Amino acid sequence: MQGFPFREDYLYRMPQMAQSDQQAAFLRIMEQYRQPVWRLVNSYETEPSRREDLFQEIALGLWQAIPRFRGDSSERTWLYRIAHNIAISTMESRRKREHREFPITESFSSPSVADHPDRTLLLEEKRQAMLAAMRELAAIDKQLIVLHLEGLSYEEIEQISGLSQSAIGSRLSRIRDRLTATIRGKEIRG
Amino acid sequence: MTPQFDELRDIWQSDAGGGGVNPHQLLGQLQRRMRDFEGTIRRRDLRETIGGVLVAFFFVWQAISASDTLTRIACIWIAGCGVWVIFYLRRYSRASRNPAPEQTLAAYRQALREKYDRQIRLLKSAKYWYVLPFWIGLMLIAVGSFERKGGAMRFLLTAIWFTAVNAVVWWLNEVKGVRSLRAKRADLVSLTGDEGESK
Repeated sequence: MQGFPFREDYLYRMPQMAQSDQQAAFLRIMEQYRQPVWRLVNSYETEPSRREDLFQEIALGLWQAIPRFRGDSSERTWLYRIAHNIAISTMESRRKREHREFPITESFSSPSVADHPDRTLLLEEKRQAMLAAMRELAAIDKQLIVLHLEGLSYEEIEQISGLSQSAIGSRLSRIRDRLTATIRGKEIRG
Repeated sequence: MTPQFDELRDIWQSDAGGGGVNPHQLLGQLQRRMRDFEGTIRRRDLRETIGGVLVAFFFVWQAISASDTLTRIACIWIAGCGVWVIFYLRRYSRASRNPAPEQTLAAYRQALREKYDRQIRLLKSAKYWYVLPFWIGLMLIAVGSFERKGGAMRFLLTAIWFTAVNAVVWWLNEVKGVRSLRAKRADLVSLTGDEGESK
């Protein structure tokens, strides 16, 4: 036997809930939050296939967690906790599998000029620069800025992250400066 | 122009991706995946149980057909060890499961680190719950054989062989396994940032 037989599964006892209720809740949540979740996924992964995998992991986590939701927090804070935590676990598992560092320099497909009017193209370039800068942040900083950009209040971010509002404020200020500098650099180079 | 925060938010929210996701299709995929996953777990549990039962059965049979008491005791001991190890692995396999993701991000990071700490503790104690019981059983067999057939050199070589095999198992668990887990834990800390800043 080589070592202890580790198991990487999420396997919890599911509280009882009618399958149809669980399905209805899942479909409603996915309809309502798929775009924010997709943006969150984009802040973690660059490659399209990996983004889809991560999106599916998060969806699976939500599906499994629905029967356990007791309304102790708002649905939105509950969802962001699950999404970010699963993103971290998935990234960690992938790192273990690949046994190498994350690529820091990203290779996104450049937006096509033909597909975008000038204004949209510029916005897309800024968004890609911002995403690249976000992916270089430590996980907790990335999580905080994603929540902030999604329009969550400090109080909600506190409930999700477990950090104090003062810690959140000081971290966000630093992260915003960093992102701003990145985009400004992009504008100067561009 | 320096982008202000509102502009950062506009840039961020300009990504309207995810529109291609069909929730109904996604649900179907997830349900298939869950079924496959549950099947895999069931098959794995069955394999482990069958393996344990076969080891136990073999040594019980050896005990029945043994000609001396010491060998009989040793075989029953090893059969018991097989059952014990299966029980222990089942009992503590939850140590390696990922924590429930509804926790706060700080609590979840802490739980992930603790998962590694628990696994490290388990491996470090493998000499007590895994290596030592089997080594005792195997040595009893060697002593039983010596009493029955004699041959000091043969006994010595057998004892050395059994000890060496168990030493390798100990090394795989407590040295190699723990080292690998510590590296993974360090990797996790580097991925998640600081060691846990919470309220």
